This record gives sequence, C-alpha cells and structure tokens, in this order.
Amino acid sequence: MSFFGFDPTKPDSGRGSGRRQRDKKAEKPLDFEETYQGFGEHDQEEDDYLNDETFGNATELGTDFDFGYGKGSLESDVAPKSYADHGRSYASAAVAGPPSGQTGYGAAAVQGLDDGLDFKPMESLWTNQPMSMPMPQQFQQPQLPQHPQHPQQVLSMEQLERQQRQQQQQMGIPAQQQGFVGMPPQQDMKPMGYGYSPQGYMPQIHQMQGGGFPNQPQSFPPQAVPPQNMGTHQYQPMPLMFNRQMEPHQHPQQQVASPPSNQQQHLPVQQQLPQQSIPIGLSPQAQELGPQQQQQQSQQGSNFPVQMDSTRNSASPRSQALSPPHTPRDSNSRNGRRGSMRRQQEPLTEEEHKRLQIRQAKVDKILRHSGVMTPRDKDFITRYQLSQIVTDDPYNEDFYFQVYKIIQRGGVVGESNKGLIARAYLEHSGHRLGGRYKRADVALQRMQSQVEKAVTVAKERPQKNKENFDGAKEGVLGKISSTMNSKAPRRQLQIPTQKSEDDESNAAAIDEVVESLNGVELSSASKARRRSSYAFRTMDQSAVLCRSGGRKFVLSLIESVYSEVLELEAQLRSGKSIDNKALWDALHVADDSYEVSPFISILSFDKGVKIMPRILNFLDKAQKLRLLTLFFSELSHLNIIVTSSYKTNPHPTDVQLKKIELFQSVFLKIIVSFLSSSAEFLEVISLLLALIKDNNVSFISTSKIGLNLITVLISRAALIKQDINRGTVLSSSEISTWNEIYDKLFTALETRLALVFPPEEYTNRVVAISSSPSLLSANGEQTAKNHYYDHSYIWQFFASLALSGKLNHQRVIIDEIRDEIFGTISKAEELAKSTTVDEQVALYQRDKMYQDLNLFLNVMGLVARDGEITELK
Amino acid sequence: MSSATESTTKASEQFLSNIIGKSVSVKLHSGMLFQGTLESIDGFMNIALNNATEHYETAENGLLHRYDGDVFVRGTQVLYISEA
Amino acid sequence: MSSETPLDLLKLNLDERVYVKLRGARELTGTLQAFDSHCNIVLSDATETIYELVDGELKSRTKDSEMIFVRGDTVTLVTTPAE
Repeated sequence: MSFFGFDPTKPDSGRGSGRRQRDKKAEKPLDFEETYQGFGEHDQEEDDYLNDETFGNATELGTDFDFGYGKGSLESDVAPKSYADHGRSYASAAVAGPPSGQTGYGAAAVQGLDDGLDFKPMESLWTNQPMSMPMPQQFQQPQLPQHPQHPQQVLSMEQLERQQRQQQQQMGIPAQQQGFVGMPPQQDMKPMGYGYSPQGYMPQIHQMQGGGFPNQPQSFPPQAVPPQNMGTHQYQPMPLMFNRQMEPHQHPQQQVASPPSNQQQHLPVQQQLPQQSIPIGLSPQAQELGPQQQQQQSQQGSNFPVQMDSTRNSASPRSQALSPPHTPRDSNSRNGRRGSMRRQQEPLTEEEHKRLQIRQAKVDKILRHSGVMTPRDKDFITRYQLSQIVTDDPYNEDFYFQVYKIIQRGGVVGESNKGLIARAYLEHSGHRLGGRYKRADVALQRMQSQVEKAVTVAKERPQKNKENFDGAKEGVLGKISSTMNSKAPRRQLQIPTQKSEDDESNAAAIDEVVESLNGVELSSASKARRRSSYAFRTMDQSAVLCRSGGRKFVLSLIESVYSEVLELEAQLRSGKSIDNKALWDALHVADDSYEVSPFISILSFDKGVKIMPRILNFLDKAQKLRLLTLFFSELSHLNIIVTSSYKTNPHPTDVQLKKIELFQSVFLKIIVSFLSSSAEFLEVISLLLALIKDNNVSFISTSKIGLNLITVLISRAALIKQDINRGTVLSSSEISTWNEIYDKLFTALETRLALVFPPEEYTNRVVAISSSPSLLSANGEQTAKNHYYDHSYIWQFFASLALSGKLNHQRVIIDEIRDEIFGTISKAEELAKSTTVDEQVALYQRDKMYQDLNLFLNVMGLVARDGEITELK
Repeated sequence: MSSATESTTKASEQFLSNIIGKSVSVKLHSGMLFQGTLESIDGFMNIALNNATEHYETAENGLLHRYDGDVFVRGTQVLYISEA
Repeated sequence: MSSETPLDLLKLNLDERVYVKLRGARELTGTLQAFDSHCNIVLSDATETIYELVDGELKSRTKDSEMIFVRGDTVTLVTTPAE
C-alpha cells in the first residue's frame, strides 16, 4: 500500500496517525473519539466555519453547487463531463507541464517530506484506474471531530466563487487570460487541466506582484513565489478532481468511513499543522485552505481574502502566522484553484462531497510545494544528485557533504552557519545573484555534461545486466520485453557456453600433447582437423580453403590480430608505451605446433595481407627478421604462391589476379623496405638460405610472387656486396657464405630456368583477364600495358641472378633461356612490323620488351637492339 | 516467470548446448531442410552448420546442395532444430 | 574460439567472398563488407542470381552490383561460395 516509498508500516507517531487509525478501524466501526487524537482541540477550530457545509447542516448545498467554475470565462459552457476527462490524470498534466518538471518536483517533495497522513495515493488522480485504496480514512479521522464546532462560518463554494470573481474583475485580469492559464480551453487539452506549476512561474504575474514578497525568507528566491493574482485560476484543477470523485468506482470504504465529512475536511488538518511547525511537511490542506479560510473569516466573507492578500503585497499576517514559510504561495495557489472551480450540475451527495474534499485535499497537498523550488533549485538538486553518481571527487562535489561539514564545524545550526550554507548553496548552484563565480552558465554546462556521463553510465549498466541478469532469465516461454530494442533482435534463448570452454581446454591439451610428441602423428580427430587445414602444400587450393576448421581458426586469428593492432594504434595515439607481446602472440610466428605456421595462413587471406604493414609498425627488428625468416622458409605453403604459379593455377581468375596484385603491392613492399633499410648482409642471405633450404625453389620460381621474392633477396645481397660506400667491408667469411648459398640456389634452379617463363597460354589468359572491362575502367594507361604480358619481373630475376653469379653461372643461364631471349627479340620485331596494332602502342611495347631484356643482357655486357644482340659499349 | 517456465527454459537451453558438435537437422519456415554438424547456435536461433546438405522437407527428397564451408542460417527463418 | 556464436563465425568472413541465400530463391555472391545482428549485409562486387521459370524451364540470369546493401529479414543463409 505504500506510495512514493512511504512505508506504511513504520510506526512513526508523528506521521502515522492515519495509519494507526486505519488499523483500528479495520477491527471495528469507527470510533471517532478513540481515533481523534486531539485534533480539533486547537483554538483555531473556531475557524471551522465550513463545518456545517461539511457535515450536511448547511442548507444551501443544492444541486447547483458551484465549485468555483462559474467565472463566466471560457469554461462556463463546457460540459462537466469534459472535466472529468481532463482531470483524470495529474501525472499526465505533470508530464505535459513545464519542462523544468516543477510539478514533478512538487509531488516528489511532498512525497519525501510529508508525513504519511494522507499520502495514500489517490489513484484516480494519477491513473485512469478506479480508486481502490482506502486512503480516505486517513483524512476522516482528524476531520470528523471538528464538525460540530464552527457551523456559523460556512462559506459556500458559490459564495467563494462570487468573491473571487469580483476580485478578479477588480484586479483587471481578463477572464480569458485566466482561463488560458488555469484551464484547458478545450476538452482535449488534458495536460493543461492542472497547469498549476506553470502558472506559478508566469512572469507577468510575478511582475504584478512586484515586490510583493520582500519579506520572504531568503530560502525562496523571488521567482519561486507564485503570483497571487493567479490564485483564482489556479483552482481549476479542483473541479476535475471533484468530478472524478463523483464517479461510481470509488472505494466503498470512503463512504463508510466518513459519511458526515464535507467540504470542510481539510480544516482540522490545517489548523493542526501550523503548530507542528513542520515547514515542508505541512499538509496541503493547511496551506491551501487554512490561510484562505482564516482570511475569509476575518473579512466576514464579504471579500475574497486572497485577492486582498495579493493587493496587500503578501499574505495576510494571519496566514503567515499559520504557516510562515509558504504562506504566500500556498494561499495563492489555493485561491487560484478555488476560484476556477466549476459549477456542478448534478446534486452532490454527502459522500460525493466528502470524496471531493478528499480529492481536493490530495491535490492541494500535491500542488502545495509546486512553487517552492525554482527551476534553478531543481537543476541544482538534480545536478548534485547526478554528481554523486559520476563524480571523481565525491567530497568536494557533494553539496550535501559541504553543508554537513559546515554544520559539523559550527556545532549547532546557528545564524552564522546559515550564512555559510547559503553561500555554499549559491556557490554550488551558480546562482545568478549570489554565485561567487557567477558561473550559472558553467553550472549549466556541467549539468549537461554530467547528464551525459550519467546517461553513459546508465547505458553501460543495462548492457551488463542484460548479459548477466536479464539474459539468464530470458527464455522461450518468457521473454523480457524490456530487453527488446531496435538495436538488436530479440534473443530468445541463453545458450550455456560451458561446453565450449571444455572444448577449448581440450584443444589446448591436444596442442600440448602434440608439442611433446614432437611430430608424432596424432589420430585425434580434432587435431587432424586443425592441422589439415594448413596443408597448403597440396596444390589443390580450393580443398585447402574449404577445410573449414583451419580456415576458421586462421580467420579468427586475423580478427584477434586486427584487434591487437587497433589496440596498439590506440596506445600509440594516446602516447602510452607500446607492448606488442599480445600482437606477437596473436601472429603465432613462434608457434611451431602446426605443420604450417598460422602466420603463413594469415597471409592466405587478403585481410591478413592488408594488415601486415600496420603489424610491422609495431615489431622490432628481431621480430621482423624472425617473421620474415618464417615467411621465407614456409613459402611453399603460402597460398599466394600456389595461386600465382602457372603450374598450380594455370587458369587464374580475375579475383586471384587481384589477390596477387595486392600481395605484391603490400607484402613485397614490406620486404623490400625492410631489406633495404635495416637488413644486414648476413640477415639477407640468411633469409635466402631459409628460402632455399626448406622449399622447392624450382616450384616457387614458377610463380610470379615467388620469383619476385627471390629476386628481391639476391638483388639486395648483390647491392650490399657491391656497395663500396658502406662503412664495413664484407668479411671473407661473409662472402664465402654468400657464394655457398648462391650456389645452392643456382643448383636448385639449374636445368629448370626456362620454366620460369609461363607458357603462352597462361600469359594470354592473364592478359585477357587483366584487360577485361572491369580493369579497363580503372586506369587508361594501365590498359595499354595490359595488352601484353609483362615479363619484366622475369628479366629482373635473371639480371639479379646473373649479377651475383660467376661467368659460368651466366653461361648456364644464357644457355637455358636462349630460346626465350631470342623469342622476345623476335616478338618485339614482329610487333614493330605489325600493322594490326596501333603504331604507338606497338612501338611502346617493343621498346619495353627490349628494355626488360636488356636489363638482363646488360649484366653480361650485352645489349639487344633492332633484332640483334651486340656487346655493350 | 514461474519456476516451471524457468525450468522449461533451462531444459531447452540445455538441449541446444548439448547438441553442439552433433549432427542435426534444421528445418526452415520455407520448408528447406539442412543437415550437418552443428558448429554453434545462439539465443536468436542463428545456427552455424558444418558440412551441410540441403534438402526440401526431407532428406529422402534428394540432395539439393552440399556446402563445404560453414553455413550460417539466420535464426528468424528457423522452424526447428533437431538432432539427426 | 569454440565459444563463438554463429554471428561470430560470420564475422570471420568479413572481407571474404560469401554466398548469401535470400528468400524467394534469390542468391547473392560478393565480398562481405559488413553485417549486423539483423543480418543486414553489405556486399561489394556482388552478383545476384535470379531464377525464372520461363515456359516451364528454369532459367537464371545474373546482375552485378559494385556495392549492395541487403536487408536482413530476407536473408536465410550465408556461407562461403563454392569454388
């Protein structure tokens, strides 16, 4: 039954009277004497002038009962029914209310601070559902005892209205305006129905009041004061409430509980509360009706007190005495509401009156504090509550703590402390008048940023929850709709993952065994699956790629490599020190537990190739050397070699040619730049050694990529050897090592040198694909070149090979490729004579062929020109 | 959620996690039937099959397709999954 | 690694050629550029295969797209293309 967090079970004597009474009542019929608890013993009960009306003694309670609606303004001709609709939801009014959420705050304040006396929710106020809670009882108890006491002071609602109307006219406030502020001009404008809080802040009203409240406590900044003039309008909400009460769905308990109570219900409470001197916790009735009624009393009911108040610059002394802090506001808002009460067409039963009263009391209470805080105050509080969520400096950011500190320091809350607290508030709030740093704008920015932070925090939190909490609860038969959002499809099941973890440890165990057995064949199915995927030495590349286990493993390696690289790059950007261990591990360069290194397999995928330059950025020289050594020694397993060899892939596709191009432009470039920038002579030849020792060099040389790799290595070695500008002269052991390795290389290639040249069928195909429309469109100049197969890489290879070889090597080379040399020359001459090809293109092509060929011939002091080979002069 | 529902949910989740790695049949709303090794499955009923074969309604109706790589089947299309 | 979900497996195919089966006997092959949890998919260098029944005879034609966005709700299957 608790509402707003109010704990009804808490036995607080100060607040619990209502509850206790209810409990008693549950046992037996109401005994008002017993539950009275001293209400109505105050002197002010004389003021209970509405008692007769409340309890049915008033003669005038007829069918024409007017709840202040009859202003003659807009609403007068609106059917009562419509108000029922308007008034249904206070919550909706609050939502539609001012952006600062004043109503909400007001309600919250009431909730938090008020005693539980009547804070059972009035559901019909807040929702569209029928009231089902017995809260009226809470009111009844205190009110009942009073009814006999002030029969003579009754002022009917009609009278009140009339007074208000007069007042209004005197004040010169156009009825239209009133209607607009306080009332919905149309039925469907539900949100306007209550409109209290906005009115409270209406600037024009404020101005009318002028310095009307100079004597207000400092705790209420001027803007917080609701305009008194508005008073008449502010009562509009009440009629709605009344209407609701008349609806049949009311809880029966209400009727039973307080049959006699009428409009005067609130009076006792009002009288009682001021004496309790609970500034914030005052019951709404006290504030709403208390002052007003008292004023009315004092004025003999002839004039409407509130208006008098306002014209007098402030609440009447009397009302102030009753509830000093909020007097002005309270009386204002109350008056306003009352003034706009609408005319009731149907007769009201006692019961209905009672309900109306209760409802009004509720509304009053809810609304009472709606003007207490300025938007700035609310911002301030919001900000400090937020700041406690997100602050890095909880003590200094915590206003409450600051205040606490001040209080602690001062011992008692004295005047001096108040000053300090006020200053703390002003400084923290950035109040435009008092803020030392005049940082209202700054405060606003901070507020915004804190909201952002808080939102971020909140965003992250549900995600975690979803994983750990909601997700576990979700199931096929019970979906949690709140977890559905537009960002992700609805998850229907949470599949446990323990099993897969077992798999993982299992796999790790297998790897361990494999390592310990060191090459012994394992029959384990999963191991076989993982290993077999790396058997790229089989020339059937499609079979290799379709081994999904390995493929998946390598692809996941690539994913982790990407994330590592991104992580390192982020570290680099933020200036942190780089630790590439994770990246190095992810590359699996040092992992020899597989037949073929996973790193080689990574290079089988375009995305693996593309990431390489960024990987190399984070590797030191030793790591690069190790990586390249591995690369060269397992070159035969490299998918791109298989793809680019005319032997294993005689019919390359467009996609494959693009892959080759990509690898060439990305990875070859890495190798070249590494070799030329940092590699020592010995390191170069060690890479070459790795290539020769572990691979079928002859096969590798049939692929464009492989041949290029060999060329890069031997040409770099030759360059270093020839470079006399180098500070260090090569030692004799280095030179002999080089010669030894070169001999091995040459031996591996001997008798197969002619096979370096791809067959014409292959080159034609490559030309055909390369010059296909898809590539043509890319680059016009490229097109011209692609009309014939570019053999330059082959001649570069032979040039490098011849350069490092001795005379006998060169002789062997020329012997073996003699046909190719003369074939190239004759082809070039044919081109020159050909009339079918565009002359420019033919000449260019011819020159290019000679140029490539001469690169090789020049090494041996020869030159091919015009169909002849002559000695280079 | 009632405890009965919860236990039902647990059971279905348990089933789905237990059949990972097994040979399964997956029927789609369209009537297509996939048979293969269940690589993984998630809460959206997205399914990954290895060495999958595709049939219409039943395997007896003949082989329509054989997939060498992993097959990803979108969860919203899944009618049922069963151990085969 | 084996704790991955089917979508994780799909992620492995990023930047790789994939074969996508759509409702209504439509097929797409292309390089997987992006996808999300709804199976919205972006393919580059994509080829759509359209099957038609012409006079009782099943015919297919293809349509190439340099870049194509596939709305996820029609996707039924994603796999690597047959070589």
